[in-house]
Amino acid sequence: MKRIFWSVVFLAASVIGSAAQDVIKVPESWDKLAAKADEVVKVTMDKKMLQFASKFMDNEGDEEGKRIITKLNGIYVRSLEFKNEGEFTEADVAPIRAQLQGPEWSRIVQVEHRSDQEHVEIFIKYVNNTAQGLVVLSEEPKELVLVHLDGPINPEDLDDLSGNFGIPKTVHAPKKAATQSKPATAVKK
Amino acid sequence: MKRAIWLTFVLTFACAAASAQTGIKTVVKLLETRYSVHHHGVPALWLAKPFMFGSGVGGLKIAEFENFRVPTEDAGKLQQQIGAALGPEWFPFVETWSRRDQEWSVIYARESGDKMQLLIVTSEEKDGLTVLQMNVSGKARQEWFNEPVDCAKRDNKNQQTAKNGE
Repeated sequence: MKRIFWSVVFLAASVIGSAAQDVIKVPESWDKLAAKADEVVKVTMDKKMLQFASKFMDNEGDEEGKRIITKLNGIYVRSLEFKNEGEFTEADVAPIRAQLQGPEWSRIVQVEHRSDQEHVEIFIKYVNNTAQGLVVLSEEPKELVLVHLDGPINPEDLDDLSGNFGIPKTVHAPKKAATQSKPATAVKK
Repeated sequence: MKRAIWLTFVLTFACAAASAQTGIKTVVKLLETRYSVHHHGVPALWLAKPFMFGSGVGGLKIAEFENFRVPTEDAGKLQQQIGAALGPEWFPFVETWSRRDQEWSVIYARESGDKMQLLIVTSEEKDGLTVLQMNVSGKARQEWFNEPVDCAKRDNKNQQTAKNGE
């Protein structure tokens, strides 16, 4: 009986553990960075909150946004703004990037804007050929932004979400970003 | 036996009802215990209430801890304790920290029927620590969902105006 009980506990813990892994883990080093940053913003909208928000999206033009957020498991935004350049290094971003190296993740956009020294990457997670998550990682000399949309989402959906739910206004779908004359403006806080 | 079932039911219901109303009280009590400080209310807050009519904001409650600021190194730990004290029905929504303005804010949200309840804890260099609870509905609620960070910053300013009676 005891063995069955522990098996159930272990199984439940594994399920909870694997569900938690879906959310990109922000490394502890970012907490140290946050202490150095001039401005830090952290927005958390889990499934429960998104479901709640979707209930009130009944205005004209809200249909697309509502359709997208109803399916999502969460929206997580972390933004750090520094006073001086060089306050963060590649080593601080590496743990994030390492989580996006798995077989399910693909980088679909990488934009380098030399004049702004801005580097933007968009990653998408495919599970059984369906998009199950999207991450935008934007680095500027004085700014670091991470946006994680967890759940079923298409890159094109970014256009309907940008400027809402704490997602920076200038985060756009890759197609649009690619057609812009200044590609680096695809993501800018 | 029947009496025991009813008693359990009534007790459970009473506890749920109490926890639903005590978001701000829970946080104020936690802060008072943790830092040995005492809060005070905002005396003429009722004067501001007519101006909120039709804005989608209501049920405003404010507790102030004048001349007390949350130590920077303690903000993370305090946030964990606030979350634990509030319980699972309140979820962390926005956290902002500005070294430039020496300001730290954490916002929790809770579903309350068709309203959203917000609980905001702000520690500022100039005005000290403030805890605020309010209901938002309609347009105000939508704005909070769309622009949570801007709303948090705007709300901090409004809070200061209300407290200063400007």
